[in-house]
Amino acid sequence: MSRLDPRTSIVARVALALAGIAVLVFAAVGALLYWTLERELMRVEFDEVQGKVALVRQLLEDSGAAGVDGAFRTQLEDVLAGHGNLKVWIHDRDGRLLFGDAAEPVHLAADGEPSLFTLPDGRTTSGCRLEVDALGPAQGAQVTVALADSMRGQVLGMYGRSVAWICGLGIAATALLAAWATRRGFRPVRRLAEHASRITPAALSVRLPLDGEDEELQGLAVSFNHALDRLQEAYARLESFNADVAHELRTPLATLISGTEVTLAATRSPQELEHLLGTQLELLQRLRTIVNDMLFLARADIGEQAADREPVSLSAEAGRVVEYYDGLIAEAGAQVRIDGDAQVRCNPGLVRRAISNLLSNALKYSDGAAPARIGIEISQDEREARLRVRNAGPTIPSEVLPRLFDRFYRGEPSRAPGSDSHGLGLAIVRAIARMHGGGVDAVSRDGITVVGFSLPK
Amino acid sequence: MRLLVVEDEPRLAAYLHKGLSENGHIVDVAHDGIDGRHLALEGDYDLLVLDVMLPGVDGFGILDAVRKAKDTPVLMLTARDKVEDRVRGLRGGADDYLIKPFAFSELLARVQALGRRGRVQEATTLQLGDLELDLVRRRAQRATQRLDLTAKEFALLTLLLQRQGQVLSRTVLAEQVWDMNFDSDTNVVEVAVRRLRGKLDDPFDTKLLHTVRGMGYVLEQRA
Repeated sequence: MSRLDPRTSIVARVALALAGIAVLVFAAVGALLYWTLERELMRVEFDEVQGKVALVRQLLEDSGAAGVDGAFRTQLEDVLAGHGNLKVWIHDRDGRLLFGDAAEPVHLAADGEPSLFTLPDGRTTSGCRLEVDALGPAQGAQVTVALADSMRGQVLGMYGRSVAWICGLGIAATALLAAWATRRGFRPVRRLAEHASRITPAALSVRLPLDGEDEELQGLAVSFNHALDRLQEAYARLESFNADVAHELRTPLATLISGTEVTLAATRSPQELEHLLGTQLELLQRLRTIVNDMLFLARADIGEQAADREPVSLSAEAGRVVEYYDGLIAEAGAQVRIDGDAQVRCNPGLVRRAISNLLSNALKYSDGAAPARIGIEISQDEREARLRVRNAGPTIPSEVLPRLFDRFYRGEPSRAPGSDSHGLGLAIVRAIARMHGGGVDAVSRDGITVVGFSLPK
Repeated sequence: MRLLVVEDEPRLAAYLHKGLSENGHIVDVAHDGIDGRHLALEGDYDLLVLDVMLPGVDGFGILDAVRKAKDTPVLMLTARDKVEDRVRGLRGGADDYLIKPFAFSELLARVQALGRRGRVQEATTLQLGDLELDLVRRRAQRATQRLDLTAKEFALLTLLLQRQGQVLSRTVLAEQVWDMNFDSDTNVVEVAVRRLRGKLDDPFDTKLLHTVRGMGYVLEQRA
């Protein structure tokens, strides 16, 4: 059995709560029983003293003119002898004690109603006092009857102890049973945990069993499994991403190594060496670009936000990017048109980079009738600003569209080799949009492809 | 210029020493933060090139110490391009920063830019051989022939002419001429230079604008 700490264990908490409930319930029931018994006992006592006081009065009245004389006393002592527990006092009209033990003063109202009073020794008992209204010497005398020793106290004491014991045992039994039952009740959770503990990066396909689980746990297991699905997918993407990275880096590295080895294997002219170094420098710069872009994406992935934001006109930034691409656009025989404008707070350098990547892509994949027409469409509403780049080109299948922004994803594998791009362009666009709290979208239909991003205002 | 380079990676330090010396600078190298701080405080340098991660005292520490004593321009080199690092460096009084891996041509460009800072205003006309640029009227002329350049081509030619004889990388050109602070994966600058060359060199026998394989472009008269 594992240690149960209420701060960390549900089982312990539930068992403790049930034990607490048991304490309350048993205490309430015990108190109620005690109270009922006490009332019943008191009623019996009261009936007794009331009966006896009536009896004594009757005797007194019957004695008539004789008053509290020998015959009456004898009669009364007979009565008392049969009830060892009774005490009787008789006072005359002037308060003189005619009968009874002077040592025990009793203060009771002479109304004939039984009530509780405290004896000088501290015990509580029941008594009753009434006035004799018969004619004769006894007229006006007060008869007091009390129980010398109330059984009620003893009975209640014993009863109280028994009830306390029974309640204590009941509470202990309930707590133990509650602990056992909750422990048992939580068995399915432990079973789920055992299943979950089998999930490792190497065994990401393990899922929690859904059949036979209690309905309370079904929801949890289903959500957990969905989370695992997403995790597995992301993990698979990451793995293929790592493979892509390795591949992207391996090709230029292989070229660098073999080129250097071949060149060093023989005596070369300075021109040849210079040529080698030039080639190497180009490859190294390519490696640097890949590493920088990957770091950029990694920073965006961990949630880095765009810094240095300022109010920017998207149309003006698009204009600057188009100016940058001026020569390339002219050589490609393309025409670029900017429509609309939007004001948004953003990092202008990052936004230019995003627009540049979109435009570069549009130029690369434009086809159809020359001149290629590329449209940069900018719009805004109160929530966000949008920029989309439209070009005529091969329709991208809809199942591929969502992957367009993935790293190292290239539209068509055949285009990849020798191409200038390293397949991170659109991933960077998405990263930039996310760094501003925005997003990207792509539509491709009937030979027109529109790719763009939106930035929140 | 007299430069101090504080860099603990011995090969990189050696290359920087060699490259900067060959470009006409007098270069001292320190390999750790303590030597670096000592030299920076005692020596009289026109510019300090500080690596951020150094044994002993890091680049920020040296920067703090230097800024308390003097206002020598400081260029920081860092492998971490975290925004906080940049902000910390610039707030601490660095004049510029470069992120590793950087191209040597970029470092050289920035070193020269920092060294030039504060000098008297630059000339209003620039010249190289028979090429003449009037920066005020924004006119370019070669021999007697006026060159018909776009605004950006003019800016590109101005930069190349201001740094004549110095190789400027595509990154530096994209940044200085078009304000594009990123490596574009297209050959945008290449095409722009080719088009400038079409107007500047193609009609003439003497070529001024040269491509340096893998490094960039240089404007100079070659024999």
